[in-house]
Amino acid sequence: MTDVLIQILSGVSRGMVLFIVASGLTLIFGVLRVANFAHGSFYMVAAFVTYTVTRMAGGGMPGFLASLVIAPLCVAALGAAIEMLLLRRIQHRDHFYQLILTFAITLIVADGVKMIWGRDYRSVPRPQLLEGSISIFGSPFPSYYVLLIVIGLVIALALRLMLERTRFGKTLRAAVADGEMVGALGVNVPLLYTGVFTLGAWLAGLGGALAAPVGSIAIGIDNSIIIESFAVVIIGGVGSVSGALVGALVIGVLQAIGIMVAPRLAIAFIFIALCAVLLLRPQGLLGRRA
Amino acid sequence: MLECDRLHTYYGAAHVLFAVSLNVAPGTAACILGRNGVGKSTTLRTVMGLTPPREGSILFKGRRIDGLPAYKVARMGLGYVPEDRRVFAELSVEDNLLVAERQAEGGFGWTAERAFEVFPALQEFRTRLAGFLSGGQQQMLTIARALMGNPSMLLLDEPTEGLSPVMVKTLEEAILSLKREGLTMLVAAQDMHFAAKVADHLYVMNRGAIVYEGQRADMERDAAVIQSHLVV
Ligand SMILES: Nc1ncnc2c1ncn2[C@@H]1O[C@H](COP(=O)(O)OP(=O)(O)OP(=O)(O)O)[C@@H](O)[C@H]1O
Ligand SMILES: [Mg+2]
Repeated sequence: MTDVLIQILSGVSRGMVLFIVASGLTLIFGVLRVANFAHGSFYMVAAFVTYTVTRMAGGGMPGFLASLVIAPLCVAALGAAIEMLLLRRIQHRDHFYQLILTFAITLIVADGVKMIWGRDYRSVPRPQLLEGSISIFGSPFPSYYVLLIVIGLVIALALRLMLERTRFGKTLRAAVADGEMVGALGVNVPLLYTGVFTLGAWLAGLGGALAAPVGSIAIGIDNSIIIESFAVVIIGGVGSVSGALVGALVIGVLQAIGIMVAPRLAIAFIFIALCAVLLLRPQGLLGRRA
Repeated sequence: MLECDRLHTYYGAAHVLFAVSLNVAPGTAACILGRNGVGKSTTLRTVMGLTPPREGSILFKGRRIDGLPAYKVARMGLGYVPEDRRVFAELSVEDNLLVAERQAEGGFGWTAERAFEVFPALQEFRTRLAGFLSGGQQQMLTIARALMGNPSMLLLDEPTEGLSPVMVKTLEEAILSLKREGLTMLVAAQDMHFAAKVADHLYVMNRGAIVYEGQRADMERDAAVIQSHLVV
């Protein structure tokens, strides 16, 4: 029984990383109406930057903390540049063009990463303090996973406060509902778009930096995270951060349990959940009807 | 205040406005009358910068605004009250106003409190989600929201459409009181009674073009002509 609990908890920790990444994707999707394929690239770049920073600073706590600050910021800057220099130029074209553009960015970034970091698998050590595990009903549970859950909850709370309490957050929610109307009320829409895209990229970067010490870092992690993130956005509802939290936890836990009962079919569980939501509640669990 | 000169507007390949010209003098209200689908909303959207004209020019306070994005037009002092209300349903009444709060050039010093004086019904529901308001309350909210941008001119798209007679009367009075305060207005409407109450100047549209133009004083005399453009 504890096995199952531990497995569920590790699913939750994985789900928290997924939530952090997907919350950025859902905000971008909701406000800019762009399906940002490059979101996975942001995640991957942040993971590689984390690798470099921890290499340079040594594997200890300072390096880890530095990477948590530096990697998301690098990726946020990259996101801001992409939005201002590329996406903005085609924002009035058909959405199809934006899909192609963000897809092209994934290819360019993947090649760029290959050139800078090579094709080898990399790994980032966990700082000593987080290397061990805690005991849950006598079974060990990695301390680092506890940290992931805590940070996920903190980000969820922070995003919620931002959306509910600040003027920026309220404007953002209004823009998710009716972007054109927000502009007609004098809100500087281009600036809002850049802000949201940058915030979204930062979140993808934070997810990448946090995930770096779990598993290995290599070309291709951009694809796997983007598929899962889109699934989260669809399950949770476009533009809904709470929906992303629910969706990410559902996927994280389903996958963790899937690995236990049918390891080779684990990925299928995501798509079964996805199909179920699309059939029963197409706007997503917490999304609003279009 | 607003001068539109031979505007041509398209939705994709569909040509919708044909050489629409109109003027609204400061402090006055002009009304665009017309049946369903003749291009009233498109005219207002064109002025606002939401569907920019392909030809023609728009001057607001003597400056060209055609080609500007809507948010810049709004900041110059044009307030927009859209058709179908479009309140932010998941935000409270107060937050709907907060999102719109902005100091436009030459505005009138609007605050939420002053907006509640014009629409006391909203005050009661200030913390309620806008999606749970009645149609009439939502319409009040869209007007209050536009006022929060401190506009010197309002564009109102069928502000009494689909409301109960009592509510229509309340809104008419509110609109008249705003006019007395010196707000310039361009109002789209379908029925002549409304225009007769509010408008100093009247334009009638048909099939995307202005087909009649007159002063309020001419309305009675030209009633038959005007009506002929309003019936299907
Ligand atoms: N987004 C759009 N795409 C294509 N055509 C449109 C679009 N919006 C409106 N039209 C067309 O443009 C014409 C003018 O529409 P508009 O909404 O301006 O009319 P209206 O006078 O406001 O009508 P109503 O009284 O029904 O609001 C109509 O024939 C309509 O079908
Ligand atoms: Mg209309």
